[in-house]
Amino acid sequence: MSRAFLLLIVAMVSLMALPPMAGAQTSASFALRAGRIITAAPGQPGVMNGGVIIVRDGKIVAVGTDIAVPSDLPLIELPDATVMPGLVAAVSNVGVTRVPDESIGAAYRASDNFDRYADYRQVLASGVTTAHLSPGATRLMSGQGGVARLGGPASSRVLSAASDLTITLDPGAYNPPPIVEELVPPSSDNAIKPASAQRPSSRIGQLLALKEAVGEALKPPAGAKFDDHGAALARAWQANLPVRVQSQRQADLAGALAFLASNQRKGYIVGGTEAAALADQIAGANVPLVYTLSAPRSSPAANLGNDPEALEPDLRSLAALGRVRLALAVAPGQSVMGLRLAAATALRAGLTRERIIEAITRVPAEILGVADRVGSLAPGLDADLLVLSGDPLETTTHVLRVYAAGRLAFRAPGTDAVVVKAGTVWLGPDQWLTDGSVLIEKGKIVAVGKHVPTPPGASVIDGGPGSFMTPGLIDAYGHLGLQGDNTTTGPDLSLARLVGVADVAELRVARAGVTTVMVGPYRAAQSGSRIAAIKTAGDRRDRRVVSETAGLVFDVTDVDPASVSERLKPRLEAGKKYLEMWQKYEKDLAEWQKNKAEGKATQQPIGAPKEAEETAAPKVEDPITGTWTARLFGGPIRPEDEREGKIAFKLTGTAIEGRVLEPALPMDFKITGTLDGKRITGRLELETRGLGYPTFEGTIDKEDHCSGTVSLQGLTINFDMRRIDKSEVEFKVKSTRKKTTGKDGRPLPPKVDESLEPIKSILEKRIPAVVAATTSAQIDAVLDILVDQYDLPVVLLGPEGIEVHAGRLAEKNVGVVVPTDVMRRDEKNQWSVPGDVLSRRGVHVAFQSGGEDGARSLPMVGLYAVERGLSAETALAAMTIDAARMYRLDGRIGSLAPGREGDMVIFSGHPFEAGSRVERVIVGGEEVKP
Amino acid sequence: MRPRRSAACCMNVLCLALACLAASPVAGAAPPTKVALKGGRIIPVVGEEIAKGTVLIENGKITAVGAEVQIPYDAMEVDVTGKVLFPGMIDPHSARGLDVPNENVPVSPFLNVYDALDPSKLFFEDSLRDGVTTVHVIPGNNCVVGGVSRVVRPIGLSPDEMTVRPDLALKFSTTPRGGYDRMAQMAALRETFAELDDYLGRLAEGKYEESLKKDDRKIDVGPAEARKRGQPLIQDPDYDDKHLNLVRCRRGELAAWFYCGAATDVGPAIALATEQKLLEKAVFVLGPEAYKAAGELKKAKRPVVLDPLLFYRERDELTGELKETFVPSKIADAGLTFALQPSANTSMAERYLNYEAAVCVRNGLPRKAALEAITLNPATILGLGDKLGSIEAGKTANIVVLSGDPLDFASWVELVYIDGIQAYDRQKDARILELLKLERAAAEKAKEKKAAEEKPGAVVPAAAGEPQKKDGDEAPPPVEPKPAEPEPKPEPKKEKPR
Repeated sequence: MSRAFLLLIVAMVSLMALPPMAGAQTSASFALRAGRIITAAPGQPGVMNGGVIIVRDGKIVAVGTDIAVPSDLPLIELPDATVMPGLVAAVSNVGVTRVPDESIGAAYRASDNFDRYADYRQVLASGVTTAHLSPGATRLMSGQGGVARLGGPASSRVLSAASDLTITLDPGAYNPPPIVEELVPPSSDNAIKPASAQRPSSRIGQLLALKEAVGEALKPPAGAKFDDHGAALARAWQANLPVRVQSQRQADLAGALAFLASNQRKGYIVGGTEAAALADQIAGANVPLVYTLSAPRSSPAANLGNDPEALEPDLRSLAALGRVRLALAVAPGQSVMGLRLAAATALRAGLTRERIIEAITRVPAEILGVADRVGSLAPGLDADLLVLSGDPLETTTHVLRVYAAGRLAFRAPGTDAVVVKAGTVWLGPDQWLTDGSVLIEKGKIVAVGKHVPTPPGASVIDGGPGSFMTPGLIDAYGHLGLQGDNTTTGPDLSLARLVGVADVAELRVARAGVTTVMVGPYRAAQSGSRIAAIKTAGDRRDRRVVSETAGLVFDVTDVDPASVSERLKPRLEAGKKYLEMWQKYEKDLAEWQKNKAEGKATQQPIGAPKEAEETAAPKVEDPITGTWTARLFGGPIRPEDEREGKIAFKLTGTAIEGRVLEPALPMDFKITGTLDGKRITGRLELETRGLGYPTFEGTIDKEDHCSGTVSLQGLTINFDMRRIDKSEVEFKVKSTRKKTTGKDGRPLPPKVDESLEPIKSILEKRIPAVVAATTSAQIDAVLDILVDQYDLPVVLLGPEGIEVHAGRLAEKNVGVVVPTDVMRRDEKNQWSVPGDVLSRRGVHVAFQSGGEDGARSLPMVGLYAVERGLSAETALAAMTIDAARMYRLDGRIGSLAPGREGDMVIFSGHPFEAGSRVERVIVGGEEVKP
Repeated sequence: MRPRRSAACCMNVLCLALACLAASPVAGAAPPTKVALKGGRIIPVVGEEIAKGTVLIENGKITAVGAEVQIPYDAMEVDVTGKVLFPGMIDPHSARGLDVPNENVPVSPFLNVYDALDPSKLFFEDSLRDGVTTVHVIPGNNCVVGGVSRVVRPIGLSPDEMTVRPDLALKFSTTPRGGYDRMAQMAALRETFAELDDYLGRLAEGKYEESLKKDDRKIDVGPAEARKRGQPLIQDPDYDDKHLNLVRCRRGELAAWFYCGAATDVGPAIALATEQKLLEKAVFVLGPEAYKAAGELKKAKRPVVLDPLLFYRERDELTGELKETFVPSKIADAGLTFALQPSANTSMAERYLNYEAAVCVRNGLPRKAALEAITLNPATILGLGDKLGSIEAGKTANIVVLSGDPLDFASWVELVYIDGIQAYDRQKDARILELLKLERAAAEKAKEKKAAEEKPGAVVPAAAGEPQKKDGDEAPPPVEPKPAEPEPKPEPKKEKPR
């Protein structure tokens, strides 16, 4: 029996399928559409808005705004991102290991040190995709530099195995260690030679040493021993390899210029702290300069002390380098990961954004001789793309993705943080921020302001300068999700149970900007029906339900005004009693806890109420009590799965309670029902994850025999029971509450009555009583009893001709949800908007759709109301904060403030201007896809 | 205790001395020229397995393999019923036959392992015991240019007697030698060949000048032309020690074995081998991470020798997640010919080639591929594929008789035949027998000690928690180490210090 039954449940629950996993993108061919593209290509300064980049086999094929996306390529849409070429670090610490001893070490190639298979994602995450590989900076001629890409296929990573001959004209290269030659082959014929000293030891000797080294390499002295470094230097010299001179001080820089000029070498200077003094000479010699910025990334810079000779980096000197072809890099020894921000500080020296951006992309690529591969976005170049969350020189911008040779090489680890920006952020009536932003984490707003924190990896949704952000709009009464079902639901059932993954109709409403709907049934029950606050988008039930019970709706539209009191009062009285019971329990509990804390806990039960005692039912004729054997069959149960089990039942009055005795079940549940003559009906109190409870009905067709059906969600199986024992079986867990105190004297809570819970909430003023009333007399009666007698929060739903009550409504703070038809012909046959009249007299109003996905036209309805005189600000408040306040949900929705739900709409202008359209909708921190 | 312990030490030393004497495998009368190993299960590696068959050996060569083999009347028959016949395993890369793996000089192409090969090394004895019949002794990985290698059998009293193939390969390494970095390593490698070219030029020039001198002529052309003309005049004795082996390597007389410890070292090794025209005879010895360069190796179409560490573990740079890769699968997927090498410095099971093959099978490699990786592949890589690596008629009779399947770790080596001569017999392996005897004695002693401890207090031998015995059913004595059976399980073979 158990297995069969479990099968039934499993079959039902497993209908909820998991969403399919998104496939990883590995191809090196794609099209990318981005919000902004910075190409950094020559003659293309500035930002391209809304462009497309086509990449095939790792190469850029096309970049531009009016490019058709080929149908064979996957399209990556990044509407909020800025795409630019990967940064080129002309100075880096990538691959640097040990410094060899030789003062002239031309045979050393830094590219040998580069690990082509290593994982450089930490560096890529900083935006640097290309790095110069340095052979060292502490020898006169350290060797040959190289250039490498830090991602992509290993075979494509070395962009240049030998890009330059690296020379250092700096005191740091003075006094290299003496050289000791190895004895090869070791034999007695080979005398040990003394270590030979090396040059330079001073500024005056460094250029001389260079000149000699070059001379000897080009014309080796006759009979000299083979010198590998000399041979390598000769080859590099003959191949006209650019000379990279690393110098900081004015005297060395002047020497560098002289060396390049006298030897007619092409080359460039790296460092240049004191270059400002030589700016004209450098520009005149047409020698590019890689200016190194001291921007310590994690700890303060080194102390300079009192040394008058100490080099003091000064950003202002950059301003003097106006005509010099300039690239920017971090100072040697500092982490290359600080490049983007260090370059941004050059703004302080007055450099333009365009110049700074090309100084860390195209210009260094040109200087390093790899501009035909990287450094800008142009057809034919490698697709080394940087996807940023915003402007590259903005402090809070982060790297979201990096493509290296067209392959996704880095992707910021996903966070659920979202920053939403707009030109105007509407906080409430007549309260807004210009150029404001909102930070959402885990679906809730964390910060609102001009500059909110931007955590790394946060996605940014930017509406642009003209955009207008409002809280998500609220439909103050609708039926979204009921799908035409006009069943009446009682006060014990919340419509929130219908919520699953948002469907087409619900998303349609969401896309119109309505993010929350107060869902009530088409017809309210006499004893009231619950209203649930449901979000229109999302794929998780717990995130979509704002409140299971946001209000209790009563319908008195067809009730005689004189009987309104009769209709409402009994429920309120019952609720009052129920509330008192709970208040008493809470008081007792507080007292007990206080006593316990003071050590006065007593074993005596406190005030055991007599009415809770179980009255023994007369057991005259008991057709139920005892042990039954039951058989389940039919329906989805295959004949071979049929099982017998034992169930114990007990009859108390007409109430039946039962437990499954055999077979042992994984969960303990009870069976409750009622006996009505020979009929039994009831349900299995079994948690089925929102599918409701399985119900049963059967008839006792003869003594000790009963048959009938169990059904759940339309699936039905048959059962057949026989009584084998009439003696009563004690259940382990009692359902009927006999005791009001626990073992230690702790008061036990009263039984929860789901149908009275909402009334209790109303009496506690946590939710409003929503009353649908039409006529003036009805409204009068409603206000008399609910407001005057009981002083309860009240919302009037769709009242007509209510203007006469405006003063009273404003005074008692009664909200009005205006009729679905917002315009009305008044007695003079003029069109008017009741909401306007009411709001001007201080009554809070809200709009309702009264439909399902018809709610999508709610903003349009508001527009007509504005046309007829309602102020746009009031209309916006009515659809946001005022509606939320009526339902006591203003702590959750309806405004933009920390702690509120991350629901917002970005319009192209004020929502109640005819020309404004909905641009973006965010529900729970997630954007609703258009 | 002190005197007793030293007495035990004396005993050990004596036993070891005896064992060494007895271990000399080819003592005694001349071995028979014809041997028939019959009744065993034959795993020939090439061709189908034979459930029960005979291998006929004549004059050191296998002449017949099959279920039905006519055994000549004069053949010595060895009954190996129930045993498994497997080709002698091949250790493709080992420096353990040497006293130190590498000389201190980084560029030392003038070295030859012949000068350091020590036949008395316990390593060779262990190799036999582990079923290895061929060892490629080559300088270690910590070098720029290492020296010349040699293929030997683990028996013989002198390096010459052991030799299967002299001067097989020259060792190179693109992985930084200790104390150097990659930049210096590659610069040294390039310098080696640049210096060689310079030397050859000067030598040629000198030879040309010398040839003119004979006719009392002076040099009449420029240095470039003189070098060109002098080139054909150079004879082998003209090369000095330092350069001769590099020249032989270029001529293809020596294979070029490159050690590539990391993936990034593979590319430069292939580039250098291509540039110096050594690729045709190049073999790449890989470190665990080097599997990442399988694509580059595939293009080079050259075989590889894998690291003894078959798993590569690394942490994700961003998430810190531990990733584990089974290297042979990646290499096999790339379609590369590969050989496994036993670990040199572990007492763990990775020192057994057949265990490594078993690990491969366990991790998804086909059995055939795993078995080939310890027999036929290394033979091919050493250029001895026509002679070694399988049980086939015509091949050298290097055969291991195992007690069970080679991939079963409970199997041990019973007999080893090298060149058709019985080189090892477990029944006569004095070292193992002595080891087992000592262990038995120790177990006996422990038992006695335990009994002595229990005696004074305990009357009932049964433990307190033991279930009650049934009447009439004589329960076995409480669990205790069984006295050693005639054939104990294979013991870890430990090297005892001398």
